[in-house]
Amino acid sequence: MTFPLTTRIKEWYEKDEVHFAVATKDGKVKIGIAQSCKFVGNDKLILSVPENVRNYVLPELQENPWIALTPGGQGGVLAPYQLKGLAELQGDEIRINLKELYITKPGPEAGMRMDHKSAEEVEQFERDMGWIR
Amino acid sequence: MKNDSLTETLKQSIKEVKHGGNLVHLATCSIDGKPNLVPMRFARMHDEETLVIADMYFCKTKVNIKENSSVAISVCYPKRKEYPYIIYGDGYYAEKGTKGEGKKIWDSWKNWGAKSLPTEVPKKFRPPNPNCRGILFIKVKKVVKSNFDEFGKEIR
Repeated sequence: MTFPLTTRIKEWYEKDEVHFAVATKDGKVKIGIAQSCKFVGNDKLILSVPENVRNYVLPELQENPWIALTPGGQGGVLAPYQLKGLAELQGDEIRINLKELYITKPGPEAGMRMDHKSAEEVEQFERDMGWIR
Repeated sequence: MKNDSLTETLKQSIKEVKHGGNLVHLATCSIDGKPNLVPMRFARMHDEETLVIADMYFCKTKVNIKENSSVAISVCYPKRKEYPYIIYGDGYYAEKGTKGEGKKIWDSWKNWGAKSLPTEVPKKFRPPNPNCRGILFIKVKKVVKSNFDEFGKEIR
């Protein structure tokens, strides 16, 4: 099934920095920040990460590939979507196979999982919510 | 944690945007290592060593906190460059009926939503009913820099 990346989700993630969380297998969490990111194909995301950040999150990524991401800047409010996936460090990039998509807007819909929907269904949800016209 | 200039800086940077603070990102994790990262508006320093975040419709965050206390917070918008900090600590959940320190924290912050309505948030993205369901309180253990040239440098 195609991962439901709408144009709006892509634009907000690619617009600014991206904050991300990684963890050891026993749940010790750590936060990193990517300068920028780029979506590739339907279900991949590449983070551009400075050397200091790469070195900081390397132990966790070598132990456990799960990563969670939210857009930086105003994206956390205006594009309230958390992505989760499996990450791999390749050179100066972190390449992510996207697996899950969640709503993070505070309200009854917080935590709703959306990756089982199509991009068109996600856009219809946004129209129903009044986020877009 | 000492009552010094860093503590004062954290107090200034971690509060609602309309009061001059920042949106923060809160990271939690399941006990078997699946991280979760969500933006939070209602975040404040409760005292020199305790940070509080209001539960306004927590979902996985609450599940994770109940099984694993490891949490982290990154300062995000709008002054990330001015306040380049990531804070680590142990998180605990307080709500009606919680005893001990959690009760005192719950009693201090349970009306936070009504006292600090999110009027600066665009209407269509505001919480529809900003009442605290609980309070996540975090015992701060470590603070690191998040500017790229010093990323991860421990300052406490």
